[in-house]
Amino acid sequence: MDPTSIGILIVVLLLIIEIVVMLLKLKVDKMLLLMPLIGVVFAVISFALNSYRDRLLSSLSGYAPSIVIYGILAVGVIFGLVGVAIWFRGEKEARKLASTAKSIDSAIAGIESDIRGSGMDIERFEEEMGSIKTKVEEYETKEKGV
Amino acid sequence: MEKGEDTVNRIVIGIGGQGSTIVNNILRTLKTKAEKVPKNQEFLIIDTDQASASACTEVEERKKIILNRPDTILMKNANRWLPDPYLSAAGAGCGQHRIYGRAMYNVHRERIFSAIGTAASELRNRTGGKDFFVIMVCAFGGGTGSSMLLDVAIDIRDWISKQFGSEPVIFGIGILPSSKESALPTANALGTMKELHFLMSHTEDIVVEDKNYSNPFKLFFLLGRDLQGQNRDDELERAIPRFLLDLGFLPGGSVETKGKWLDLNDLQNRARGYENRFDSLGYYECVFPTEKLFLLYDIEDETPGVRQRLVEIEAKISDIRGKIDTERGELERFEGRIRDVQREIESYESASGMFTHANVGATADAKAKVERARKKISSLKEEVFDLEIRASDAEEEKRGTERNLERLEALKNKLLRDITAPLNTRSYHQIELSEAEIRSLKKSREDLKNLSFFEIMKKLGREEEFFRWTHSPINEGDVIFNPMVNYRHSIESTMASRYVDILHDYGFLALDALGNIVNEEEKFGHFIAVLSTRADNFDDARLGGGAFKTMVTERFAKDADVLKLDTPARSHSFALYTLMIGLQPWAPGPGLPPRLRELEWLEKAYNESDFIRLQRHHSLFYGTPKPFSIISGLPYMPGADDKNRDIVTTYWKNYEVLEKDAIWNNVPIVLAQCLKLFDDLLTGLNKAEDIKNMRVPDPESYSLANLTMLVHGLESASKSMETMKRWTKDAERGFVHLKNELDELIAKLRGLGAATPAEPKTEKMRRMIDDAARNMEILIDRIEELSNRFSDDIKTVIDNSMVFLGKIPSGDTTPSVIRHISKAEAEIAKLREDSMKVAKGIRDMGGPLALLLSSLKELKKITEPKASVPGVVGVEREEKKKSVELPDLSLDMRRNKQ
Repeated sequence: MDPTSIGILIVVLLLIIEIVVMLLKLKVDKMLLLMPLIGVVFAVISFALNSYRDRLLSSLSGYAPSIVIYGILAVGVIFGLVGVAIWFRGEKEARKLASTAKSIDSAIAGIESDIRGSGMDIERFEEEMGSIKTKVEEYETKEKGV
Repeated sequence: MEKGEDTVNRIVIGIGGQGSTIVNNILRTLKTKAEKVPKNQEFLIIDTDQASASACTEVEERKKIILNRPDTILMKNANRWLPDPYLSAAGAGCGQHRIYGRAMYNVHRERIFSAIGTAASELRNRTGGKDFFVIMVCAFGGGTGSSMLLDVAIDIRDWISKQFGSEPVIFGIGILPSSKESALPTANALGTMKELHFLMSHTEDIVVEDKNYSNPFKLFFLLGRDLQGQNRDDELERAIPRFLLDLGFLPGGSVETKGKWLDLNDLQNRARGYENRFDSLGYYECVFPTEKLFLLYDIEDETPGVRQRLVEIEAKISDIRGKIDTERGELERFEGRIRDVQREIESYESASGMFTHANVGATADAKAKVERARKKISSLKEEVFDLEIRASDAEEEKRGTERNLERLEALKNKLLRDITAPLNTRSYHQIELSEAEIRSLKKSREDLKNLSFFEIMKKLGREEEFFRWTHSPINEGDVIFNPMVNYRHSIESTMASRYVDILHDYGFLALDALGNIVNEEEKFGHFIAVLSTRADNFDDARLGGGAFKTMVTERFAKDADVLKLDTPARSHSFALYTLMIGLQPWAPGPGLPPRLRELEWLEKAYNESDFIRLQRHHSLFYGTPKPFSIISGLPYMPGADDKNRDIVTTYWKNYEVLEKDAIWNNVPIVLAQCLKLFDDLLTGLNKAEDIKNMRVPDPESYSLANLTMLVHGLESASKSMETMKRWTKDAERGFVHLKNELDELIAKLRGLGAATPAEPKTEKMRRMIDDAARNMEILIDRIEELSNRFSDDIKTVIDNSMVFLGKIPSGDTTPSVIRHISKAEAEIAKLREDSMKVAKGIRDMGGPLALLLSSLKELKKITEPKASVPGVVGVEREEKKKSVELPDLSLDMRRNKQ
C-alpha cells in the first residue's frame, strides 16, 4: 500500500473518531453528524480512487488523477472541520447564556439580601420605637402612681 | 399584726355604684402592693346597674352580684306594698329610688345570700377560722347601696352567727352627698341616716320574725364628698383604700410594719359604748417627692438618648427609602434582561439542522436559573412594595414616637411643676423643692434612697419645715380639725358666742387656761391618731403627743390616743390617720346649725319632698309592718299594705337623728335663748328711752336755730319709733317662736321616758328657769304700766313740740320757717301714730310672755327630781338670788340711775 493510501486512511480514521466522539461525548444534534460523515464518504471515495487510480482514472493524464484524489480528500477534511467549528460555536453560545443567567441570579440574590436587610432594620426600629412608647407609658403610669 | 397568724376571715362588700367602685379601688391597690389577694379576704359587689358593675374590672366575675330588674308583675307580686309609680325605675339601677331598692332586695334576697354565703363558706374552708370581719361600703345618696345596706348587714350578721357560731364584726362606711348634688340623692342620704341611726340606737337584740333588728355595726364611718364646698372625691378615692390597707384592717396590702399597735380587738374596745353613734375618719399626709424626683431624673437621662436615636432612625429610614427606589429600578431592569435571556435561550434551543449546534443540557441550568430569578424578582417586587409600606409605617411610627417624646417632655415638665409647685390640700402636703435643690439632689440620688425624710430635709437645711408639716399637726392640734366630714367640734363656732356667756355664767360651760370653751356634753367619744412613717422620722420631743392628748381630751373628745406606727417602707412620707369615734351629728340646740354640716343640706332637700314623694327616700320597714309595729310601738293593720307603708313613712318623716339623752343638752340652750331674748327686750326698751329724752326747745325763746333743732329731733325720734315698731313685732314673733321651741322640747322630754340627768345639771337648769321666769313675771306685771308710761312720755314730747310751734311769732313766718313748721307737724303726726302702735306692741308682748312663762313652769316640773332634798337646793337657790341681780325693767328706774 502506497503512502498516499495510508495518509488517506488516517484522515478517514480521524473523521470516524470525530464522528464517534461527537456522537458519544459531545451529544450533538444528529444532523451535525452528517458533516463528518460526508467527510468520511469523500475520504473513502478519495481512497478508492487512489487505490484503483489505474483503472478508474486511467483516462486522465498527468497530475489530473492526483488533483481529483486530493481534491475529494480535501472536501472530506473540510466537512469534518466545519462540523467541529459548528460545535464550538454552539458550545460558546451555551456558555455565554449560562453565564448571563448566573450573573442575573447572583444580582437578584444581592438585591434580595439588601431588601431583607432593610426589612430587618425597619423591624429593629419598630421594636426600638415600641420600647420607647412602652417606656413613655411606663413613665406615665408611674407618674400617676407617685 | 404579724403575718401568718391572721385567721380572721375578712369580707369587703361594696353595695351600689360608688360602693362597688371603692371596693374595686381597694382591690386594685391591694393587688398592686401584694400582687395577690390574701386567702382570708373576699371582695364582693352588689349592684343593680350592669354597666357600673362591669366597670369594676378588679373584682372576679363570680363575686359580682348583679341584680336585674324584674318585670312589673313579679315586682308587684313580691312587693304588694310598693306603690305603682315605683314598680319600675327610670335610668340605670334603682333610679336613685330607695323604695325601689328595697323592693329589689326582696326579689333578689335569696341570690344575694347564696353569693355571700358561698364566699363566707369558702373563707371558712380556706382559713379554718370562724371569726369574720365584714366591711360594707356604700353611698348614702344612691338607690341601691343606701336601700340594701341595712338589710344586708342584719342578714349577714344573723347568717354568720347561726352558721359559724360567732357574731361577725361589721364596720360600715357611708359616703354622704355633696352640697352640689341634686335634691333626690341628698334627701336619700337623710333617709338612710335616719334609718341607720334608728338601728344603731337599738343595741339590745330585738328578734322579730327570725330577724334581729339590733344594731349590726360596731363602727360606722361617715365620709363626706366635699369639704368647705370643695370636691373631695379624689381624696376619698385615695384615702379609703389606704386607710383600710395601711392600718391593717385588710392585711396583705399593708406596708410592712413593726410591732403591734392597733388591731380589731383594740378598736372594738375603744369603740365600746359608742356603737350607737356615728364615726369618721381623717387622713393627712406629708411627703417628700422622692418617687417623683427619681422619675424626673430617669426621664431627664432618657430623653436625650431617645431623641438622638430618633434622629438616627429617621436618617436610616430615609436611606432605606432611597434604596427601595433604586432596587425597584434594578428589579425592573433585571426583569427586562431576563426576558431577553429567555428569548435568547429559546432561539438558541430552537435552532436545528446540519449547520447548528445547541447544548440543551448546558442551557437547561441557565434556563432554571433565569426562571428562578424571574420568580424571585416577582416575589421581591412584592417584598419591596411591603418594605415601602413598612417604611411608611415606620415613618409614621417615628412621628408617633416623636409625639411620645413630646409627651415625655410634657411629663417631665409636669413632674417639675409638681415638684416645684405642688397642689397641696388640707389632707395632703408635698414638700416644695426649688430647681436648684432638684439639681443638687440629683448628684446624690443613690443616697436619697436610704436617707430618711428628716435626713433629706436636714441636708437641705429645712428641718424646721419638716417638723412644721409633720409634727405640728399633732402638737398644735390641727389634725383634729381634719376629718373627712364637715364636723363642727366646738359649741363656740356653732353658737357664734351668742349664748356662750349665759351658759358660762350658769356653769354649763367652762373655760380652759387659754380661754377655750370646754363642754363635756358635746365631746365625741374617742380620738385616735395613728402616725405612720419610718421610725427615724419621729421626734418624740417635737411631737408632743402627751400635750396633744391632754388638749383633745380637755376640749374635744372624752378619750384620745396617739399611736406611732413604724413603717420602714414609708421612709419619705409621714402619714397621719385619724379615727373619730362617737360623733354627735345633731345640732347642739334648737335653732342652731347641726354639728355635722352635711345635715344642713340633707335636711333642706329632705324637707322639700311632700309626703307622697317622701317614700322614695326610705327603705327600712316597708313591707314588714309587724317588726316595725313591735319596735316602734305604733299599731299596724294586717293586709292594709298602703296604710302600713304610710305609717312607716310618717314615722321616718318625724324621726330625728338625735340621741335621746342629748335632748337634755338642749334645755340649757333654749333657756339661754330665753334669757338672751329678755336681754334684747331691755335693749329695745332703751330705744324708747332715747325717743322720750328728745330735747324740745323752750317755747319762749324762739329762734330759727331752735326750730331747726326741733325738726331734726323729731325726724330722729320718728326714725327711732320706726325701729321700735319693727322691734316690737320681731320681739313678739321671737317670743312665740321660743315658746314653740320650748313646747317642742317639753314634748320631747316627756316622750323620752328616760330619767332626768344628774342633780347638779338639773339644778343649774332650774336656776336658769327661775331667773328667766322671775324676769318674765316682773315684766308681765309691769308691761301695761310700761306701755302706758311710754305713751304718756311720748305724748308729753309731742305736746311740748306743739306748744313750741304754736308760739312762733307770725312776723317770723318766712317761707323757710313755714316749710320747717310743715315738716315738724308731719313728723309729729307720724310719731303719734307710730307711738300708739309701739305702745300696743309692748302691751301685746304680754300674751306670748305669759305663755312662755307657763311653758317655763312646765319645763321646771320636768326637771324637778322625784325625791329631792329641798334644803340643799333651797340654800343654793338663795345664794344664786344674791349673786345674780335682776335686770332693771322700769324706765323710771333707769332714768333715776342715769
